[in-house]
Amino acid sequence: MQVPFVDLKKRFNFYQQQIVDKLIELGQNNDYILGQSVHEFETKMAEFIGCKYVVGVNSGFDALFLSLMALGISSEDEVITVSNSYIATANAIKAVGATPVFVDVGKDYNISVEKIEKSITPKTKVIMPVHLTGNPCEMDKIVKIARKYNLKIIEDAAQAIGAKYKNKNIGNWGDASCFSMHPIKNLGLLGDGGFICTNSKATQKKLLLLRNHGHKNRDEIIAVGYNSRLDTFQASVALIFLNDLGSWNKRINQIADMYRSSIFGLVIHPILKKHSFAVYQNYIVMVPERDKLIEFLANHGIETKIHYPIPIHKQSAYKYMNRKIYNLPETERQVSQILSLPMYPELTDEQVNHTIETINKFYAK
Amino acid sequence: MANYLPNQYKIDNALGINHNYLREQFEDHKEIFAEIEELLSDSQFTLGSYVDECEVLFANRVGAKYAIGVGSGTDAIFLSLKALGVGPGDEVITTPFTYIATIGAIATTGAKPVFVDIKEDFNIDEKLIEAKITTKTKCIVPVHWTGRPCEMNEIHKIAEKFNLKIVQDACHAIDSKYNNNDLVNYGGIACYSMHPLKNLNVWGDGGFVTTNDANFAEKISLMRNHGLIDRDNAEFFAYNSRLDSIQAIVAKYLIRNRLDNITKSRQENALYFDELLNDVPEITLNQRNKNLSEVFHLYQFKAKNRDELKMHLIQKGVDAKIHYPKPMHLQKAAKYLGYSEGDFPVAENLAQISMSLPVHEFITKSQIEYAVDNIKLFYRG
Repeated sequence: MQVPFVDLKKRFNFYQQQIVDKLIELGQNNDYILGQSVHEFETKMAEFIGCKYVVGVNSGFDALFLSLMALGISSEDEVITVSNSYIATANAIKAVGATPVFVDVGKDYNISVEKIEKSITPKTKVIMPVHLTGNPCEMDKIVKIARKYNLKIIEDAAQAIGAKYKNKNIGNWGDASCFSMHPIKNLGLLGDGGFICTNSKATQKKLLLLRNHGHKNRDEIIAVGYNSRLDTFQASVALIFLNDLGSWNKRINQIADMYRSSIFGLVIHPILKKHSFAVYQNYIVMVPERDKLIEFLANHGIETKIHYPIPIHKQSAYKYMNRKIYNLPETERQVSQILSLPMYPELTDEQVNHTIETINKFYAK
Repeated sequence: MANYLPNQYKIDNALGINHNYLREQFEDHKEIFAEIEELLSDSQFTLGSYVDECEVLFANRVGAKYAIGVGSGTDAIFLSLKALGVGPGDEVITTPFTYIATIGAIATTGAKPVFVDIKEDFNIDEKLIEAKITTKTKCIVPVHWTGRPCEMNEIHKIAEKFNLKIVQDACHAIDSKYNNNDLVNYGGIACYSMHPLKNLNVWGDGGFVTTNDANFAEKISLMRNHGLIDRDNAEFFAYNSRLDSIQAIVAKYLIRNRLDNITKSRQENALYFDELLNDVPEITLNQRNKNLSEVFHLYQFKAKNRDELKMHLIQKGVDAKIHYPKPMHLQKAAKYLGYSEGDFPVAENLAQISMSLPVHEFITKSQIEYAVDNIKLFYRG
């Protein structure tokens, strides 16, 4: 039995007709740039997240980049985040000229809240917690720290559409919250796309200008802007998928429960903090003899991946920052043990059980 | 509605002499859909073979060794400047008579846009460039406005003399040639847009950086994709600006099947307008120049009583537009640059008296005649 790590075909084959119909409608209405679907998507997504404003942009990276710009972050500033994220997190901080400051993570792979305060300097302007795999950070504590030091919060929620912490959806905990709809995300489109949630009218207004060249109207430009628009077509696809996102997230949690209750022994499962609802963009376990397990699974048709094998502070792009020697023992310890199992709603019970049995067989040897 | 929706996206019904022709263009979509369905089943949404193929086609089309598909024309200029190391403390010379994207791309790198006035043909006045060069100047961004090439020989000479880079804003200029040469040969970098209103237009945002320099091409390829040399290794900090596969499919189809006709009919329509408007004394046409092969993204000219003429034409169902009534140095966004009215007299004057009419592939000869008749009627009463 084959268990591919990503299987987009199933989803797109299922929705193919709806997508093609939408594309034809769009063409016939001439509605390609910031069209009706973008506005409808922004309204529906704001309802889904329970926030006041959603601004559609061209990617999750741009969501972070534009949010940092909208909050006025620039070259003298420091932004506190983690090193075990996708490279886009730190790149967005660098893109505005600011410096990413990495804090170690806890056993739950998320920013270690107790270690944040030690990293705050007079230059710190923002905390950017990453809800890795869609598992929420301890946002109540982070909000407290941010208030105490008068810092902004930008949630990197690229993988966390639909996640919840203490009865409040992810997307409502920051001054701005950034989501990705890259094809392999849980609400994945047919190309790049992203959006920002905010409850501040002023931030929303800035973001609307930044994503569209600073236009007040066709002829008047009132801000130095950028071009980062969610394509109308991608917004239409997002609207189709949004109807089913709730049930996809449920199915993902069902699979997580199957993994959690049936993979035994030496495997450490992802840690979910109390009052959290995770959406498991990836199901990351920690395992001994990882590389042998990867090979064993591959021989049984099961594809796995590592998110991510090289933490950001070890990337050659960030070596220049060696003037600051990072001491991130937990981040570095996890790197050699983490393993992402296949995780998407289209997985069949048979595929999930095959993965479970194969892992159990490996450790029973 | 909270968001700004440009007027040109609304569908006009009067007589169909409109700038917007997306509906007509969309009649022809079967082949595009066949490939989109292929994409839906092989799921190569982020880079991959569709984008690769499109890049080869595009590079061949504009005579460049390399073309790198990016998120938009703005991004093409922004990434090119960043790849050349342009940033805070640097100055970039360009024209105030352009779309805001040119300036936004420069300003987003942290560099300071420095304006040079234009000539009567709407393009940067190459004779005024040298006076604006300082020790901080790093780059010249000539804008081939409406697809009419700037004087690239002269600009290239200046760039070589002062050791400056050239990043051409060729967003209007797919298929334009200078002295029968491909634009990319002048300085090695040209940026293109495929926004839905451009001559080569896709179904959302998209653009290209084209270059003859292998290292520069490699750098742009990394910069558009997070600096990743493979899945796990990032070489430098970078951005996310990829041409979507869907848009690559649309572009491939248009380059293969339609672009010849798009360019040819725009040129023919423009020349027909020239012929008919030539004897209208209130209208001043651009001097055509056989060394500047234009592709007429817009058909732009100067007109007496411009605003009244525009109203008159709109009432007659002719979609007259102004590109653009307010030059960049007078925009609120440019206030920090410290320019004021009178600094660029030609640009300011042309913003007051110029007008654009549509000449795209779906405009017919009789529509052109109708538009000209109404221009004459306006002046003759």
